[in-house]
Amino acid sequence: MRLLAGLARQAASAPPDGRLDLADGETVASLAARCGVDPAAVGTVLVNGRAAGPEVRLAPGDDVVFVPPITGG
Amino acid sequence: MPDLSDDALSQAIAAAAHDAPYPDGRPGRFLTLDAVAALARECGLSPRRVEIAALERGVCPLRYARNLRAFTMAEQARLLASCAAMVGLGGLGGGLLENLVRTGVGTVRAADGDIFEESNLNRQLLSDRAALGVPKASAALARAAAVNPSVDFSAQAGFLDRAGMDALLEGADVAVDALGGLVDRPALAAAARQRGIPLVTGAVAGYTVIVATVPPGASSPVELLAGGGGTAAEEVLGCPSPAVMAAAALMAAEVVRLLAGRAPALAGKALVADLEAMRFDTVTF
Repeated sequence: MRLLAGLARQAASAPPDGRLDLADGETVASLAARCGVDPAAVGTVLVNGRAAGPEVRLAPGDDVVFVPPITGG
Repeated sequence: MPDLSDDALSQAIAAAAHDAPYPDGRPGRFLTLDAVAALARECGLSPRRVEIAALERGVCPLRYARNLRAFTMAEQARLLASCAAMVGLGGLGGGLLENLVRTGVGTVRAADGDIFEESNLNRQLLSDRAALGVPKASAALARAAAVNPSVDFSAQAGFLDRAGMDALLEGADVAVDALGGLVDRPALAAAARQRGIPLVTGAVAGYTVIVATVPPGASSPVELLAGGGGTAAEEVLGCPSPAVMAAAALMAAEVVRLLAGRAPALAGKALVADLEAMRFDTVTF
């Protein structure tokens, strides 16, 4: 998993190398919760390059990217 | 000479051109800046029309010599005949303008109602100390004319409502979202959708960059990425220059590709660049 644009600074329990073992029935939401990612700070979650909702089930090897709202220019 | 025949134009261009090798050693025929300006006066044409006519006859304006072979002569001529409409002349817009004008996009229309302030100096290419308090549109006009007077550039010093965006996009081949913040982006996306033209969009927060191309009728990934509410990350992380310049350059590459008549590289996809990790991912929506 990766935390973009400042989310890593807030997520105290995220593994530094981005690799973690999946819990039984792990979803995007449960992964965020146990890594300390504030759901209110997340704009979009990408699972294997596709936008995914909080209920999406994760499988071993999935690439999960948490992206906050980004609108600057 | 408003009734200049094709033959006469060909002869005038041939007489004004000089032989020189391209950087790779191939022989070429070129027109200098002065030759383009003199031909424009002599033939009663705009410099842009002279450059298009020259390219159609196998003569390359010297200023585009190093655009070839990124573009063929026919594509360079097509770029000069094309029109981009851009909203925003700040961080993204300044970098985009620089790229589009140097590349030789023939017509660029832009709008921004802001004036430059000190907090823009960290990233906005059109800003400098002398430009503080100056409308961004005025600085853009001066820059475009100084770099490439062949480009027909116009800039409105005003914030556009939906009707204004509709008018700006009329006749344009590509819409360019160089806005900051989220407030006006949906209106521009809607205007592009209504015109049936692609929209190239981008956003930055800290060292994270998102760039996407929205084909006519598709939904905008930036709206998706900015979704979910909460504080926009750039308000916490800011917009540092390398990220803004990178976003502008990536957007410009897509805009120019579309205007040259090629398929977009990011149709229905977004490029997410993480400049902290130096990692680029393409994501599908």
